Amino acid sequence: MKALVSTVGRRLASLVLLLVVLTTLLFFLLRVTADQALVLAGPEASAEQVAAIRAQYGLDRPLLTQYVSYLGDLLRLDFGTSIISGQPAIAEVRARIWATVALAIAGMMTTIAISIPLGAWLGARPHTGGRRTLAAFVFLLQGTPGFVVALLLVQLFAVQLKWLPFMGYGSFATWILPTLTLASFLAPKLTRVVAANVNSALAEDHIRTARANGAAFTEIYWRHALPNALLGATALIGTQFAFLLSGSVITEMIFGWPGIGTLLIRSIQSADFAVVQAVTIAIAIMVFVVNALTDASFRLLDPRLRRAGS
Amino acid sequence: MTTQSRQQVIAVEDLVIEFPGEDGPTRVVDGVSLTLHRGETLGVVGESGSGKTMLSLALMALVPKPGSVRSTRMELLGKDARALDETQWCQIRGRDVGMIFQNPMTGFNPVRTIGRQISQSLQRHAGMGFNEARERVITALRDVGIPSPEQRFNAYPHEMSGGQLQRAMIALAMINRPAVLLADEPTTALDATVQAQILELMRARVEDCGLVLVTHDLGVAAQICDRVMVVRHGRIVEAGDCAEVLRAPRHEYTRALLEAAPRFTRRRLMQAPRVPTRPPLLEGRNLRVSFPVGKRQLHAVDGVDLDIWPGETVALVGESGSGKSTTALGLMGVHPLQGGDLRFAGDDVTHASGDRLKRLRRDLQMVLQNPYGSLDPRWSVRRILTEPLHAHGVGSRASREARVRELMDQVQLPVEALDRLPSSFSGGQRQRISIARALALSPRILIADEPVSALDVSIQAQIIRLLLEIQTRTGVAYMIISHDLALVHEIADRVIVLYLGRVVEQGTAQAVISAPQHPYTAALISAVPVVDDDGTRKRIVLGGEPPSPLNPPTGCPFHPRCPIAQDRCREERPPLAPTSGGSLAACFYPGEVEVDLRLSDAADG
Repeated sequence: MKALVSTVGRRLASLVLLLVVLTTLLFFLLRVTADQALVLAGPEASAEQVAAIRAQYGLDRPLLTQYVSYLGDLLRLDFGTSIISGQPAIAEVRARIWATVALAIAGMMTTIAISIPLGAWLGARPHTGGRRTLAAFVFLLQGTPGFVVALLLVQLFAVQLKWLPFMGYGSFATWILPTLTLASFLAPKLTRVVAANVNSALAEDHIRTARANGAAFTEIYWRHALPNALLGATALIGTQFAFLLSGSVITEMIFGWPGIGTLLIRSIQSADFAVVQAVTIAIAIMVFVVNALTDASFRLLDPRLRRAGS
Repeated sequence: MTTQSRQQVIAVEDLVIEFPGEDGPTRVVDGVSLTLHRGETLGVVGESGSGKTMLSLALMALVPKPGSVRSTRMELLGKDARALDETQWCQIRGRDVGMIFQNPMTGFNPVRTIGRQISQSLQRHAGMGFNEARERVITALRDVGIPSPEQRFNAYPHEMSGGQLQRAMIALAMINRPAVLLADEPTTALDATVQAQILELMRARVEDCGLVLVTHDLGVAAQICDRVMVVRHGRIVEAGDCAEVLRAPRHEYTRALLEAAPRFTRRRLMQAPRVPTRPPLLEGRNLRVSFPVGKRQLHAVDGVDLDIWPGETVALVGESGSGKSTTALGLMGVHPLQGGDLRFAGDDVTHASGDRLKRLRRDLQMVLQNPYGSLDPRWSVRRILTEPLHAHGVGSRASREARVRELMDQVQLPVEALDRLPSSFSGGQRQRISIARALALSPRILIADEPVSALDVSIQAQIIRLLLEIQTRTGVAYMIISHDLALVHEIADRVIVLYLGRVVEQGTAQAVISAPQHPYTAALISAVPVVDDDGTRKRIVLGGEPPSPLNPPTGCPFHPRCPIAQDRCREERPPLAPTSGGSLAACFYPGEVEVDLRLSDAADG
């Protein structure tokens, strides 16, 4: 218990450090990329109008002063106001984050549901007949960009067959194409990793021990090879999920998905710094949590990582 | 033992195992015939590539694909084994035939407990429920000498030592009381002291089953085999009664193996110990290396004094975990020394860093144990040998090339091989490349960490001869780290024995090995399976394994395993002091444990 508390404590401390570095970098980098006052005033504005806007938003203050007041606001959990919508930035994030998280979960679940059985099957006997062909197809799919698959899916199911809506967010049908797009992007890689892991797990010394003691192939496969192979795949699942949480921008754009990916792109384009910052912080925290959970699941699954006595 | 009256459990005639290759099939086993009876131990002796492992796998129908197996007769317990299908084999494996593999560390599934893995075999073959199997497994673990088996039942493989795992492996192989036990190099991955324990255990546990012991080590075969079969390139070159074959080998190859096998009767290659006239080249006093483990410190090297004189050979011996390699890496500045005083040619190099450390490393070079892991597989030999010259900015392009050619010559490899990759060389050749690399900068001291233990016995002898030649020619001093005391006896001038990071005995090789003063040294020497052993050699088998350096015992660190420990040893730590045998030993009762070297008639140089 004491070990758990200290682990969580250490993790939280590193999260705080991460956020400090991230917000600092982000704050200054954003201000190098664009001048908010010019964007707000519009291309036709006179120098006086721009100056007035600067004064109104406090952009005329020295950058360091702005930074300090931004940090102060952050400590009070005030993420600033969107210059586009006039809403608090945090509200914008809150309104869209669940669409992204839910899509990420759906995409990951589908990926796992496809990749683990398929990879496990391919890895058991990789050089026989149909599996070889299928493995080659998976390899090809891994090299295909996600948006190509998305466009093909839209063309087939939405335009030609008219079975599914080609965009939108709501009914079950609207989820199918975005989810499949994400899965088509992630599944080939996970499939190949699972297949390779199963195959190398089958070549381990302990498999030979089990065989020498009369274990049949099914037992060897389910009891010895697969658990060891999936242990290795856990790390990839963790990184893939973290990647999905950072907003699969292209997928969200293609399907008009109201997630943080589209919000992030739109805010960057319109120099809506408060929202960019809020979205980035939200993503950082989510990725951090997913990574921590991945590590924790390793500890749970792999006896070699469990601490003796805890 | 009257084998005729006992049941014949294996009968194989004209066994052939082939693997397809680009130039037609390769025969790894070529017409081998053998029989085995209950209660009998057959040694299958050969070097790597002899086909001995495939032979044992064939007896269980475990030859990996795409290998093909055929024979004119293969009977297991009187039944034709050639007609069996995979389902029938699954019933036989582990029930009628048990197998012990070489590497116990990787032989168990890392994510399942030892107890479950052993119970599985009982549940499968004896139809037992888990609870019933559990009781049997705990008894079996106790029988193979695993302490507190109830707790160990729930241990994962990584929580147990190599020796313990090999005991568990034996328990697993024996759990269904098979009629045949196959053991493939069962002690090769273990320390000599643990090897002695395991061989003792196997001898005691074989009881009424037939044992096939596959080994490269005639010394091991001599310990427990009734009959031996010497194999080479898949063929039997000689077979017969074990003692008979060892006493009067008929085949030239058997003689060569015997010549290379460990024994203390061999003439020492280093005739008279060279008497140091100059001051030592390297002087270490009270050296310490420790590592943080959690909040505590693990003292891997705990106050070691060590000198190396120019041109001599000093051997560092001890079990794994005794601090031999850490001491070497401490001298090289790889692990920083936390304490003590280290001088090289009179200069203080204890905390050398940067340029001074680099300078020191020109004079101190190292050859590592595993020639398969210590050469970059993507680098040509030329690049491997040029690297040290390059790193230290030695010579011009042309002179480096000349040096590289000279090095190839020195290690007796053809200059044409310079452009080849390590993968095209055999283990022995790779070790020659490693030695050439270490010699590139003309070091004054070469540290060799188990330089031959990964090689076949006949290759070992060649490498040792090469090292000695180089020493004669260049005057380089060697510090050889080895667990092989017979080898040490042959080539070292002086021996330093380490236990738990401390020196327990040191002296001339002659004195230390023929008359060890510390009981630990005596046990190490006694644990070497020598071929001259006809079964009457008195052996000191140490109980248990070295304690953790995190929790060193009070008093003399060796007392929990010492056969002659007294009350005083539990309280006081004996200092390293001169003994009547001529060496220094850290023992209150030096020279009380005697060893049987089998030196009786043979003259020792």
